[in-house]
Amino acid sequence: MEDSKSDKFSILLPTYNEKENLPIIVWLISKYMDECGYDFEIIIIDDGSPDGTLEVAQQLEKIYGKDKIVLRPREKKLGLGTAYVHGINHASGNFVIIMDADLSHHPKFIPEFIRKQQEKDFDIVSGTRYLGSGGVYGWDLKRKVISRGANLLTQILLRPGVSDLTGSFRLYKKDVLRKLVDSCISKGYVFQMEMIVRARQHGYSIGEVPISFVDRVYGESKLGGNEIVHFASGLLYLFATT
Amino acid sequence: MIKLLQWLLGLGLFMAAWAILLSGRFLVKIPEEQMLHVWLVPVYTLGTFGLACLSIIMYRVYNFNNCEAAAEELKMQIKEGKEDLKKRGFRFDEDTLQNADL
Repeated sequence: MEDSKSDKFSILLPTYNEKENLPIIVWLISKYMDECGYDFEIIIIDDGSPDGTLEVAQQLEKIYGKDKIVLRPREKKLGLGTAYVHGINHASGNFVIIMDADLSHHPKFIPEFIRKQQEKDFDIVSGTRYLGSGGVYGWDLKRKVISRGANLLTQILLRPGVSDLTGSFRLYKKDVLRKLVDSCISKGYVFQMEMIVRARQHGYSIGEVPISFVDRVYGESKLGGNEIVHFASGLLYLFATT
Repeated sequence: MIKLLQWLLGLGLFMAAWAILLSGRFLVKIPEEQMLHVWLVPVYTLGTFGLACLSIIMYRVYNFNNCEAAAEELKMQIKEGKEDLKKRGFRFDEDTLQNADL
């Protein structure tokens, strides 16, 4: 039987202007992981944030220690895919968790992801806003309609076997993540979709855990025409090539 | 098989079945009065499909969980986290601003 005591979880936090949220999310991750006795590290990949996020990260490194907080900053915004590659290359864990650093994803779900993974030795565990107790806070009717509409379209066209394809709160086995990032070429939302579609192509197993998504920035960053066009073209690309 | 190809295959099968019904040559001979409906089969199919999708979307939007409790919990934990971090020596920006007033 697998010795789960030797599992280590590397949590990747790509950050850009998260000076306010970073201390809280690190505090929450540490709280829940320590409570459950899991071995972990947090890899902070700051892309040259002008608001001083890196200094905040350095304070956290002093408080929590260099083995728990690993700083691997970059000079400028280089995109999520390369941030994951950068993070994986410095990860000492055998599992990698990716999540947003803006508190829309709550670290309390990480132990649930871990338990789910252990159930059937899943290659990937994905958080879903659309099943069971999953949901969203802070969206108006229009946003919900767009979200459900886009999700239905994706289900019909791609039949991915996963309820939430654009979610970015996931746990991966490290070598699985590495293989998938290497085979994906899209950006943004579509990147997260492509990861799951490629995972299915490779025959990886995917478990799901309902999560709550607390959107505190929806008021500031509306879902614009640009993003919808990007999503639609990405969907068509995946439809026509996978 | 690529999804696009699957759909094209499905579309091809649908068109073939429709053509057979229209020609009235194989299997079933449909009476003249009903032929209009046969011509409209694609319209009926798309219409039913469209209605089904709308119903599904409406149902799912209606049942979309609102996570009020999660938002409340987060608010409280942000406060709690700030207090605890201050105790451990973390300096938030507001602290330096307040000190400047003294």
